[in-house]
Amino acid sequence: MNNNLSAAAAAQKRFKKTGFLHHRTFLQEMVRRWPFYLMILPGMLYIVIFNYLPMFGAVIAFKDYNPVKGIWGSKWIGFKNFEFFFKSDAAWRVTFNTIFYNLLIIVLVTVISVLFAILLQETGSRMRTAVYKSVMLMPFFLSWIVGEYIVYALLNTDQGLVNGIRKSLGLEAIDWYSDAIYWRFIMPLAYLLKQVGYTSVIYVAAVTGISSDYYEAAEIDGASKWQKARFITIPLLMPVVIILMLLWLGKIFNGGLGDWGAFYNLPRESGILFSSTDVIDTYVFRSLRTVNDIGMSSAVGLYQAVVGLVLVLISNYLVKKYDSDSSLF
Amino acid sequence: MLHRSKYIPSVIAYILILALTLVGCGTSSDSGNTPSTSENQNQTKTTQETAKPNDPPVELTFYIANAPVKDMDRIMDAANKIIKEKINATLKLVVTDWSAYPQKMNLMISSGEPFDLAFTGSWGELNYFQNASKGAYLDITDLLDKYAPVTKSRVPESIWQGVKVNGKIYGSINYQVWGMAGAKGVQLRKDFADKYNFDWKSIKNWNDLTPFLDAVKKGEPGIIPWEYSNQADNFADMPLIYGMDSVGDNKIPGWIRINDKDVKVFNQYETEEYKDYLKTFRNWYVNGYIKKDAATMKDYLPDRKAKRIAALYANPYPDLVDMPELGVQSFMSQAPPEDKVYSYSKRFTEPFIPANSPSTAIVAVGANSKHPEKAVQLIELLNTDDSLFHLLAFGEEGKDYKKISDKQIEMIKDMYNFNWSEWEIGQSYGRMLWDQNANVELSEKMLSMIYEADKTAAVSPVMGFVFNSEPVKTQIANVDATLKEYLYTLDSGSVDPDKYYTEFLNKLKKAGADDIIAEKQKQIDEWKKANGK
Amino acid sequence: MGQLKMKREGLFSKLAINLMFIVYCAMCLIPVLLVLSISLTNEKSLLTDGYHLIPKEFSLIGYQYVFSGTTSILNAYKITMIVTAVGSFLHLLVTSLMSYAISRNEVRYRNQVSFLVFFTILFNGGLAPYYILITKYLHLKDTLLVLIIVLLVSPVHVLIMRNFFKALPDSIIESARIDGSGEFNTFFRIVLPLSTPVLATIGLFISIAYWNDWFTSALFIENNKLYTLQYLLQALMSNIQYLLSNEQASRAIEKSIGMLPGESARMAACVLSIGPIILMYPVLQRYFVKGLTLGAVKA
Repeated sequence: MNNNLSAAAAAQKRFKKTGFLHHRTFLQEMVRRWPFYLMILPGMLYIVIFNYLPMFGAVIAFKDYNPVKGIWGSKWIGFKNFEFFFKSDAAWRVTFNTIFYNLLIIVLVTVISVLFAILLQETGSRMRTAVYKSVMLMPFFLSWIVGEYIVYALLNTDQGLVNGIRKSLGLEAIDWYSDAIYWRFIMPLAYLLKQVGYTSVIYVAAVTGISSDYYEAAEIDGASKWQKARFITIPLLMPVVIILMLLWLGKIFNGGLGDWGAFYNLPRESGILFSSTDVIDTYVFRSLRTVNDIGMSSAVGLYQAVVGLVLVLISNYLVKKYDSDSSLF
Repeated sequence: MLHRSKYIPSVIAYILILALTLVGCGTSSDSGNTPSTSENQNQTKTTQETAKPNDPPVELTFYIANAPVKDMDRIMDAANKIIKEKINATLKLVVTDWSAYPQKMNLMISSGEPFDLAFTGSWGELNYFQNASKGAYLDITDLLDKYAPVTKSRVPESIWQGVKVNGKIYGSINYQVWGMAGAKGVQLRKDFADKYNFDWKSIKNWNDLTPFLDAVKKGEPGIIPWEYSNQADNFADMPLIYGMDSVGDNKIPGWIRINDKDVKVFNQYETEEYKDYLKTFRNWYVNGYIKKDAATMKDYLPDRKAKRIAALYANPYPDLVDMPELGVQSFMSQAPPEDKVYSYSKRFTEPFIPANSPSTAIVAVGANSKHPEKAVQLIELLNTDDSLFHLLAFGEEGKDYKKISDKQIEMIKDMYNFNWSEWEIGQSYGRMLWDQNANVELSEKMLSMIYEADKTAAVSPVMGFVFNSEPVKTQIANVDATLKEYLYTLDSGSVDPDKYYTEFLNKLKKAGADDIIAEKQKQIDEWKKANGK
Repeated sequence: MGQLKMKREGLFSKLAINLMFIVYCAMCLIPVLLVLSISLTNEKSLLTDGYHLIPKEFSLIGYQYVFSGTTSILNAYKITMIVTAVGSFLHLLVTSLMSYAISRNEVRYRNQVSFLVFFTILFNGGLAPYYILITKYLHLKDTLLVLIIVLLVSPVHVLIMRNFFKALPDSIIESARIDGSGEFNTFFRIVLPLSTPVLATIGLFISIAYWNDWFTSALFIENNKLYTLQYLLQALMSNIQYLLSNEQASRAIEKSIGMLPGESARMAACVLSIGPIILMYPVLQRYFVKGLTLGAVKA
């Protein structure tokens, strides 16, 4: 086994300068590890057909897209489609909001979910754990459109439940929909409530996947619950935490791991709130309402993807330096 | 041996998945799974062989927006008997949910997928004009004259101008039951107007309403004096009230005055009319005539249904001055009928045909249609064959609806129901079937008045002009984003115009409003020259 | 003494933990209860009294409307269940095979493959080329298969699952190999049974995704016998909106069934669509436990 590997490595070294070596070792690798590559094949085939083939459509970003002429028949126009976004004075504001909310939500969701995943093991009853987990997951099933109704039911000025409570306590009703500052808190809160259940479920799976041997050994050594969490659970959860954060980072400019539906629906498109609720996707959606131009929307999509890619490549490089096992690739 | 047999289940499982991931590619060569292509081949053949009487009928696809309809198959079978007999074709009506329809049609056009007929229009994302000028629809100017002469002749020539692109017609107008000519005005609750002795007959503009709203505010707790809704903005969505008409999209800067012979384009947000409007509405808001969260009201229905509204914007033509007998059936919009909340309606303007109203509902023939002649024949049939139209609109008599008088029907619960979407496919002129709530005599009198107005009403000076937004789409995108941010809060009176109006105008200018206006002017001048105006 | 103190501390922290979860769960339940309550409230009461956590005037009309208003909802349930079951199974199979292979260190191109997978999360060609691929080249329009195939592989799931496989002790796989077990055999007989927690989790997510997918139906399905539940409910909701704004339509409906249930029917549709999947969750939960015990026995 080991012999084989070192032989291959030696061969690689020897032929490093010859051009056709790469091809040969590729074939060798395929032959030697054929069962693994066979396992990859169906998924890879799917990704090539359904993800990579349509990707050529991204050239629309550089074209004056005419649906009748098709993607290839349309005229090339360079970077003209990018202009509307970068020339607008809102570009900075929405970029800031996008980063602000993403970072805030990434950190909060991760910390709370990991905490919940660990504490869910400590409720003292498997039954209770199961109930909590199911209930926590429930908001995840509600779409943001339904969410809009719920938030409106809670916050509308005249008949909202929150203002009802405030009135019964002798406090003045608050006009939630016309003061942007509240939404700096409402948006992350709504997002958390929907997302934490889902992310916790992933971490719970990771925690239950940890072999009980570790804990037994620690118990023999007299480790406390806190110590077990600190020295066993959290380190073993780290790879999953890192992978989820990397994935999220990649989409930071493009909806995050969740979706921007919240930012579109919950504030009910109230113009007064835009200073704190407008993110790149909602801004683009709004600007293209009448123009309805595929070229311009894919230009912004492409920009978001490129920034995401750069972010991930940098962070992946850093992760790899410290813990190569946890890196994305 | 033993060792090898362990492999078998996993190998089988593997082959299974591989097969399944590949099925997609496999079907491309298997024509059995692709009825559309094989049928299209059949169809091409039949047209080439010049229709013999016993030719197999061609299938025409017709895409419309509608929710899935119960018992659709039964009604389509019955409808196809008629269609087959009349024009030797069958209709395949494809319904797609409203929330996905525009996107689906745009994708079908992008991919060059053939369709024979499709509902379209110039609002929302339906993009009739853009698609027509890019060649997604067939030019049916001549086909209409040849195969749909009745449909063509029923719509006044001036209104056909409104769907032309470069002088060619790309869709048949569904000349609506409600007509094209409209007037803008208001609807008030009768009980309040009577109680406070309000002289509703003489109101001509927003300011005339103020005493009424004030009386309601003071005397009727729990009632909202004026409904402001961003679904129909009281300035940006109703240029007619200010004697103007829009060029292209309502809200984008660049309107014209309807009595301006020179057709000069200007920024409507810079006019004196707009400044006056802002003053009035800010005053209304501060005095509590408008709901506190009016700017974000997406859904006005709950308030209307709860009878909380005292006055609102309406399209009353004819109004209660034109036709006082309408009073017996004039209820407040959306108020529960059993409560009988009577209303007065009064128009501020003369009937007028704006440039974008003819293109409200259009049936277009696909550019890739294999049977354009048959498709246009079907348009004619849907607009002239009343039994066919009624069948699609209401179902079968006795099964889906009961006739309660000569021209009136009652729908039977839980049976076929086209969701009142028949206006997407055409119109029956001869014996319109009214539902049980309508007063047939009054409704028909009202309709004849509207049809009369369609021939005599003033027509927008830019009727027939189509604005090509391509050269300034960057500016439009940025202006659009700015509009959404400021317009509703300003127009509902929620913010002080002294503070925000200048900021709004500056942002519009920065976003490129002037470029858009200049481009509109340029294109209109060219159009005027080309058409000898 | 020390023993007792520790026990009391344990009891106290347990109490605190449970209390925290109860508070959080209550926060999660409010929106769900609100939806349920609105769906069970008389429409008129919603208009005059606003929304409440307990219906002021109980009514089932929202549900009645959903069941009577559209084409066969039962057939749609059937289609959705077939698509969800077959789709989730295949998704798990393809995903786990692929992610297992790229989790193994002896596979040299694992990082390149991972990158290719990851890249598709960031970049896509948009809807138009995808639509063209499905309809023009693969001819999948109006087939049951298209409903399954659109979600067959999710790059995010591949990468998450890969990390779980990475955490498996290498020794188990090595020793299986020494025993002469082939790679596929090892995967199906040893790795998968050890991975039930992650399979159940990903299985849950993908079945939710299949269950909730209405857009595929809207774009590619024209045959009314292939409509999925979510598409019908979505169509029903936008139809209510359309009918409500059409004065003539809503009057005619009011004459026959009373006030058109707008909010309540919308929320009833929401309850009907998420109800089954919430009920399904405990079943998957049982897999968790089963996987746990199985894992314990093996380990």
